[in-house]
Amino acid sequence: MSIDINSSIPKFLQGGGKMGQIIYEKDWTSHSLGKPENWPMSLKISISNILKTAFPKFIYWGRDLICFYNDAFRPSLGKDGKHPSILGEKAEVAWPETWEIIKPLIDQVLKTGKPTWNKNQLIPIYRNGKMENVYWTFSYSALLADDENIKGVMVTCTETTEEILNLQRLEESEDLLKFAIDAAELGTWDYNPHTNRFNGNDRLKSWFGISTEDEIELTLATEAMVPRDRDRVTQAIKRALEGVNGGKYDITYSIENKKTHEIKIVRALGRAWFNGSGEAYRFNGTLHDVTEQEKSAEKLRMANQQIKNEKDRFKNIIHNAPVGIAIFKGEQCIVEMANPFILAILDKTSEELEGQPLYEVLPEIENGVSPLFEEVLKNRESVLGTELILPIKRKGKIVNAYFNFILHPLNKHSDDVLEVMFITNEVTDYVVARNILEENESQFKNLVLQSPIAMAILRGENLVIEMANNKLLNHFWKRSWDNVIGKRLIEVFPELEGQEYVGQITKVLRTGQTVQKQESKAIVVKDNETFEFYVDYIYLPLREVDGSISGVMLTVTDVTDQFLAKEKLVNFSKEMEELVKERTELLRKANDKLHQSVKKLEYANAELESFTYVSSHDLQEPLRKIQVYTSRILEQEQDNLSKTCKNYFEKISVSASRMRILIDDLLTFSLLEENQMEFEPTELNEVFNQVVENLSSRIENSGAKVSSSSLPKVQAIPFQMRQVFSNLLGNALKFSKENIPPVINISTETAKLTDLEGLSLNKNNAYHKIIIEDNGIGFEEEQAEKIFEVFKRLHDKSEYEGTGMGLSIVKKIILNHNGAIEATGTDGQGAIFTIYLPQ
Amino acid sequence: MCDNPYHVFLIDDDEDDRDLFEDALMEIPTKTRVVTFGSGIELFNFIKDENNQPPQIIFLDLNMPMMSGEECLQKIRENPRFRNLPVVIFSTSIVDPLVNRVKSLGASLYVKKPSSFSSLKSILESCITALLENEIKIGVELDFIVKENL
Repeated sequence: MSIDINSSIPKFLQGGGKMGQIIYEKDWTSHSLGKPENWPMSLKISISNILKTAFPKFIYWGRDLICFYNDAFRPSLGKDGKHPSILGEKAEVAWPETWEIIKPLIDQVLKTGKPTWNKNQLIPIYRNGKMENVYWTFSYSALLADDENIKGVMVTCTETTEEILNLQRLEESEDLLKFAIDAAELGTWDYNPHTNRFNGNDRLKSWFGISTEDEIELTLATEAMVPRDRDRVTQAIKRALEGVNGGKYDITYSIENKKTHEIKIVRALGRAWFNGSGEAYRFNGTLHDVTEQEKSAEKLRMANQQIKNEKDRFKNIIHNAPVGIAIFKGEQCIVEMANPFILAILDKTSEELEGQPLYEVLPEIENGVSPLFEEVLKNRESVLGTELILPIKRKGKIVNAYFNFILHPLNKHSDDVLEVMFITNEVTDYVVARNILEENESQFKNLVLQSPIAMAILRGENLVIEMANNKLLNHFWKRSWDNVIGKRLIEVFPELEGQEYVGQITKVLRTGQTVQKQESKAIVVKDNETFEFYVDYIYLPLREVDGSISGVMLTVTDVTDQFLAKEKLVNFSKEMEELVKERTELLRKANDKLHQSVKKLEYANAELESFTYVSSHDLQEPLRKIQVYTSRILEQEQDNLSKTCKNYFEKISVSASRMRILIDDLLTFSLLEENQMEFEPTELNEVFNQVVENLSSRIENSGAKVSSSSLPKVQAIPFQMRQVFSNLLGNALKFSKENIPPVINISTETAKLTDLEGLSLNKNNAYHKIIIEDNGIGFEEEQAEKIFEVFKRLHDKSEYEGTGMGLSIVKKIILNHNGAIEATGTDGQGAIFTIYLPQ
Repeated sequence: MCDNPYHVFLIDDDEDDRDLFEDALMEIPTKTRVVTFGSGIELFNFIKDENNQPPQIIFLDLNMPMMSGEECLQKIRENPRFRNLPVVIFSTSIVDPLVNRVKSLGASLYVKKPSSFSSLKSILESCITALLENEIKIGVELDFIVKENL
């Protein structure tokens, strides 16, 4: 059949789809183009071309711009529209609504032959029963007629309405998103893990304090974070990029704007996107300024913490309170809580008490406390009391304890079971102490009344007599108790006016300082008789609990007898003092005299010194000259002088010689004290030998025998020791008996204690005892002391030569050496000199 | 014994003593040539002139006005020419501290002026011979202090 049809359809319409069929079936007889078989070849080819293409195409042909189109174009004409009426229609008639737009395009192509190109051009058309906004992308191109002139226009077009609308919808949705982002004041960010580049919206960049250039390094962003958050955020980013938790990212951190130093707390939300091989290729999301929320949250946290702290503090306070606190619930008084203090008071542990009905644990207190609890439960008001006595079992024994307490309903305004807080302080010690004090006070009062010391208590400014003991009443006041009780002091004793006492008592009341005085004179008058006392008194302030002074306690002791006795003593002392003064004056005068004597003595000493010098030098000089010249005369004029004359010169010579020895000895003696020389260890044997050597001619001449035992070594001045032995030996030789050769023996031993008797030596020291014995003329026993005196001569000058100073010098030297010397002898029986020298 | 007389100086303010000294030296066996000075100042004026012959021994009194014998001794010893010259102290009295002082200043002997002319002669003789001929050491063979035997 199709062959039949096909054979009747003109060839250029065959295979032209539905539109080919429609063109064939249309009645063209009255149309300006005539029947299709007669259309020009160029038109036929053009139509055939468009019918066989799947792209929407349209043709305007001829002067009237007759319209043709293919199947692909039909959808653009919609339903219930121009199809198929505009087929073969003039363009002007077919497209009245768009004619204004397309006419110039068509004309342009017809005129120039150049194709046009329009993309997504809005050309509203009538279709689907209404005008529709339709977007087109189309090209108009020229069609040539058989004569190769432009005869028509071919429109190749595609409707892009759907794409455009989609695009518009997308744009709108993006705008909405942007608006939402703006409205929510969100920052957005987008990070590319491959490039490590990061982008964000302007808000985000301004928050981070970074410039609004396109992209930035991630590190620039992390630097904006406060240092303490950086690690945490970096870790979170890393986890998201590793795909932990599906790449989701949710973190809150703080950033600091480097320019303004404003700190923001932000919450970042986002996710990472992964490709097929599980690699993150994108990581983006939003940033929300949660500073205010965080601050509020922080405030809330702090407020909660504070509430918790307060709760803890309350618990702590109760726990550590230095009073007993317990909370009871309901009529059964279930112990809800008991602090350590009350546990200690009740001698119970918290396990024993808490959760238990009070009276079951502590049956002994039920009688005492249950009325109080009942009152609180009934009235729902606090009950308080002091010194409540309760029997408490402590260490197995019931003891009476005293308590001050408050019972306080905790939840009196709610309908819950009533809770009662019990706060208590044990005052047992205080009560017991007070009882003892009261007891003591009464004992004290008795003591005062019976005291042998006079006492009284005065109260108030008016000094009202509150108490006066028997001693005071009888001894001083000479009044009965009834006459003074409750009266003013000045009223009972008007004579006190003008005496010091009232003033002193008032002072104690005013200052609170105790006043104490001794031996004060007091006068009391009784029945015109005046009694005089000397008293020691003490006025003590009496204080109230608040420290104010309400009275004075007087203590008075009668010291009249002592006072009078002392008066006598004082007078006696004064006399003594006068006497001492007198004596002191006398002593002072005596001292002055002594001082003057010392001065004189010093002066005399100085004179003596100058005498020493004069004698040593100036006296010797003329003397020596007398001697020298005398000796020269005797020598030179020997032959010329008469015998008498020679004798006279001899006498001059002897006298001068004696005088010279005298001066030498005097000098030696006086210099002994002055020239205190250093002591040195001295061998007395050596000293002795030197002396014997010096005296050898005299020893030989006299035929003397000198023997000596070994002598000790002593601490001494050697030349002085030489002087001693020289003088003693010289004396022994000198005072020998006529015609009997001298025998001199020297021995030494350690002194016995008995030897030291009667000598001024230190008996604790050891002494050498050196004895020098001779067989000479000796001396009388009575002279034993005197021979040591200066210039003391026992013998006639002509009989024995000498100055009388030898032994004085010896004694002085021995004393200088802290020793002693004594002489013993009998007339005609020889002499013994004993020397003691320290060992 | 040397033929040339010993050159002896005496410094003494006492004219009598100077005369006695010269007389005594004239009478002793040892030959001497003596120059006397009344004070240390005179001595130093004399020896300043190097043309004057220096002494071989000096006898020096201690108690002199203006310049004491002690001072004089010290100055003599300060002069290098007289550092080793024998100096004999020739004094009336013996005072211990003074003895020690002049000894430490370098005096050769301390002679107490004798009270007889014969003693004076013998002492001078023994001093000069001891110091100038026999070179006797002081302190060993001769006491530092020389007194006449009474």
